[in-house]
Amino acid sequence: MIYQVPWLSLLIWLPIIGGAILLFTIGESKEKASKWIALLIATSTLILTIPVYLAFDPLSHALQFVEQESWFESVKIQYYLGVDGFSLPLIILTSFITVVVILSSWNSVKHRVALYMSAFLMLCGLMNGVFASADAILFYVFWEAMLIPMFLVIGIWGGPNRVYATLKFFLYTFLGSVLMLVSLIYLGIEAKSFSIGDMQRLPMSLEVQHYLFWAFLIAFAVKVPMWPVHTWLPDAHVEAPTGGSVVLAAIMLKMGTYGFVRFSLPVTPDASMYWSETLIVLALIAVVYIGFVALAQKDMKKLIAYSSIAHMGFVVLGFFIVFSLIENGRFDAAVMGIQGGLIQMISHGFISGALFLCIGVLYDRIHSRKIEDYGGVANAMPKFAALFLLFAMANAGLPGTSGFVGEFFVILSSFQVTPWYALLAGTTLVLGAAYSLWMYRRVMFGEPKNKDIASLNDVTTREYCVLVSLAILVLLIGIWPAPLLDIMNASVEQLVNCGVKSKLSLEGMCSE
Amino acid sequence: MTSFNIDPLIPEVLTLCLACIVLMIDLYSKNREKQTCYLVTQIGFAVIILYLIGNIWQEKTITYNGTFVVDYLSQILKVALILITGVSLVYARAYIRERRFLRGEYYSLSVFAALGMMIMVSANHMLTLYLGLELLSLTLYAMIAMERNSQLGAEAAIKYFVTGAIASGFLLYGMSLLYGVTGHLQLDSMSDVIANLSEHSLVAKFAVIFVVAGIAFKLGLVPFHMWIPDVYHGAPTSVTAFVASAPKVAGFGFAFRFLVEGAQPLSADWQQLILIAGMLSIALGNLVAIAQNNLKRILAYSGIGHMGYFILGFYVPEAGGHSASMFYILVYSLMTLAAFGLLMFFSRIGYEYETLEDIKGLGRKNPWYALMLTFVMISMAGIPPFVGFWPKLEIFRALVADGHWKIAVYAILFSVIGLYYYLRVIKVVHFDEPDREFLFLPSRSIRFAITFNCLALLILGLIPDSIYRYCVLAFG
Repeated sequence: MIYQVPWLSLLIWLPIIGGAILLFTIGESKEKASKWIALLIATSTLILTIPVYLAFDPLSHALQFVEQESWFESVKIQYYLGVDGFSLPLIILTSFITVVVILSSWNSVKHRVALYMSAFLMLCGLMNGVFASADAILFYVFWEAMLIPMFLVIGIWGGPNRVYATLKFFLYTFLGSVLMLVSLIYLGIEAKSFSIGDMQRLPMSLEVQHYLFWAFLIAFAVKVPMWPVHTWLPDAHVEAPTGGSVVLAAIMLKMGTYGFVRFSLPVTPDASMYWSETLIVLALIAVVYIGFVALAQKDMKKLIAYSSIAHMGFVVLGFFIVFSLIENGRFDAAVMGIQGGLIQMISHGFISGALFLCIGVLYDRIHSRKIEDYGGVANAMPKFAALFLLFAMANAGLPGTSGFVGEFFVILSSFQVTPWYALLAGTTLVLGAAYSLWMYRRVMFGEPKNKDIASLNDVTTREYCVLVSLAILVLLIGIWPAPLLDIMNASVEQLVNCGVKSKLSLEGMCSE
Repeated sequence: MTSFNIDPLIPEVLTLCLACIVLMIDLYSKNREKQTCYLVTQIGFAVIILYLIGNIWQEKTITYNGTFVVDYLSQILKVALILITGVSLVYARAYIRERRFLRGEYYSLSVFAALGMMIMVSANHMLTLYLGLELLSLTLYAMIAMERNSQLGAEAAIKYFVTGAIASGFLLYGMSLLYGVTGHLQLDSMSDVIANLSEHSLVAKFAVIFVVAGIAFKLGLVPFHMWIPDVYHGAPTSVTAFVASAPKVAGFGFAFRFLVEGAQPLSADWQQLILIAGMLSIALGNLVAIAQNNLKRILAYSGIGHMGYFILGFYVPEAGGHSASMFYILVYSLMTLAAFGLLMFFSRIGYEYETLEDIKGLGRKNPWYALMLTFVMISMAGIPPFVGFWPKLEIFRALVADGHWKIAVYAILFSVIGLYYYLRVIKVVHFDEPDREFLFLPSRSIRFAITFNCLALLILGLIPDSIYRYCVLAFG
């Protein structure tokens, strides 16, 4: 019974159609109504993920809740949806973050509220679509379509330099992904089907894999973003409104790393292995160098943006150390590396989202993001200070928070490749603590730099609920990550044991 | 020829009758609004479309001494042509009334142009092709010059006339050379003769170059694109909307009939020309559009770029390039019609909304039509899920399937550059502060048509097979 309902379609289309109806029927005059309707739609979407989570079979690596309909009949493009252990947590994350974003923007958005709310609802549906697609072209359609509402969000509600930032964001990510389109078309022609599963089972020569790998890498590296193609992110974050920053950091960046496990590793395993050292070096540069860059930031949003790049470097590291581990026969460590990357994706979604919300809370009151304009906020806002501290600690990777689990897994498995990787990756614990806590100290303690700070009101009930719910999740994953690991486990093991096997000849390949 | 069967020609005969009837009504109508002319034209179009849909020719039939061909392709193209002409008249009505050149001739000229285009897509003979082409061109010259007091309009008409005449000259020269080589004017027999010619038929190759140049002129491919920006800019927007959409579809029919059905044995020669022209158009169109500030010129250069993508389908016929090209041209004309329709919609008496400054901050004052303009721009840029994405995908798929992935990468990279100027329009509309009031007072029919046209870009994007299916069927 539960399998007959098109759950995934509902998760995609409910927010999209809801957003469209909100935009076209409510209009821009009725602000209050549009906020409540948006909240209702977002919450319904989140509630819809519950049956999917409960009915999900964690022991199977196969796609579940499959919906397969012919769509673009003449070229065999299908409307083909399904989730596995990689995508389900991200879909839940997306639906959850959307509710958070809508609640957090309740009073901070002043004009064109209906358009703002519907943009975030549509973003939610489109991103769910990215994670639920099992057809490559459908995946690409959602992947690109998602840029449009984000472009408008940054451009309409952003800061003073928003036009530059949003154009850079759109052009950068579009440039990255068009080459992926050519690869997807090539794979679709070779596999005679645009189903991602068929692409993963397609044997290919190393030369072809090299081309495809780089085309995918450019697309995903821009999204992650990896050093040196990360420059759009700080600009976009600084100019975006709070909600836009939260979605960017919490979900959109994960689409890049999701692309690695969905396409790069299983479709081009030999090229991924060939280039894995390069990728590891790039990831370590992101972790160490960008960590130092974050330390030097004067703008809070920029600081968190750079720290996001450093944390996403961990995910890439976790995914690409797999190859040398498998070569040495350490399958357990390889599984742990990928698990660490995946947990880091989810955990960073909560932590970075929460940090951007905290900055949003301050910005709504003081209208500045400069660290130097603050100081002594803790006296005026004690509740906020406690929550902010928790998230700053989690960002630094404090044990007991979710930030620790992923980083620990990745460091542990990279130690088995060479201690040097672990050592360099481990600097993040120092650097992360340095930039997070130093920012916290300058903002929350000391002499107030601004006469308005003394009269600040503490967080409202609405803000409090949002931040506390995020805090609970951060702690929950930190203390008890087992439920999350259980969901992923089968898919991760399948990827390590089967997905990344050489595809140069048919014999080496897994027969499923 | 054993018996004379009028059936294949009925749509053309009906169109010709319609043109004459509209002329007559215009003569005796006292109404300055020319209401009757308009209604009769639209009803006539509807009847012809219904007739065409009801009598689709599945079999390819060559008739009238080999001058005329009717097949699935021609029928589909004719439906599209009449539909586009009809919609462009819906948009044009208020615009030409406000600019005081609403005359019955506008309608009858449009019908004549439609007739010319219908003949073009159904021609199997060089004279028929040329007849259709000239009927179209002459009516367009007149329509561009119709706004008598506009200097730009007169300049555009002269430019179009001169360059168009040169292009026709090229075509005729090429055709006469081909006739000299093969002794045939009929395209299918010409093709057979060329196939049996000796390897070194230099004259035939020479001739086909002239023909390709003529076709490139009509489609506006680099290096024969110079007239496009000036004509699009100078012509009254209602005429630009028409010139930029329907004749391109007819141009596709022309190119297919002549190059593929007539000169297929020479394809090794003309495909190279097409490829170079296409690649240059993609580059020039997308690059130069960035420097424009006038929306009509932006759309003109974007049109040059689009023609470049479109023509690449002819380079890879085995991989389904023709249906991809047809898909492209149909979708392109739908988008262009929406874009110029919106410009006409924004314009009002004595003022043209043309430059980017004119539409600054439209999103604040008139969110709905700003959103519609956004739809058009995103669709033109080829971002899914809008319909503009699918024909691009099909062209790229055909290129990659035929092993030309490098060309696909080249084309796709220029589409990123092209994205910039489309985004610039959206930026001006949504992100800039408005500095003036927007007063749109158009009639309900136009509002309805524009909204329908723009929403179609989204809806057809969600069900791309609805158009593409016919494009595949047309090429069996």
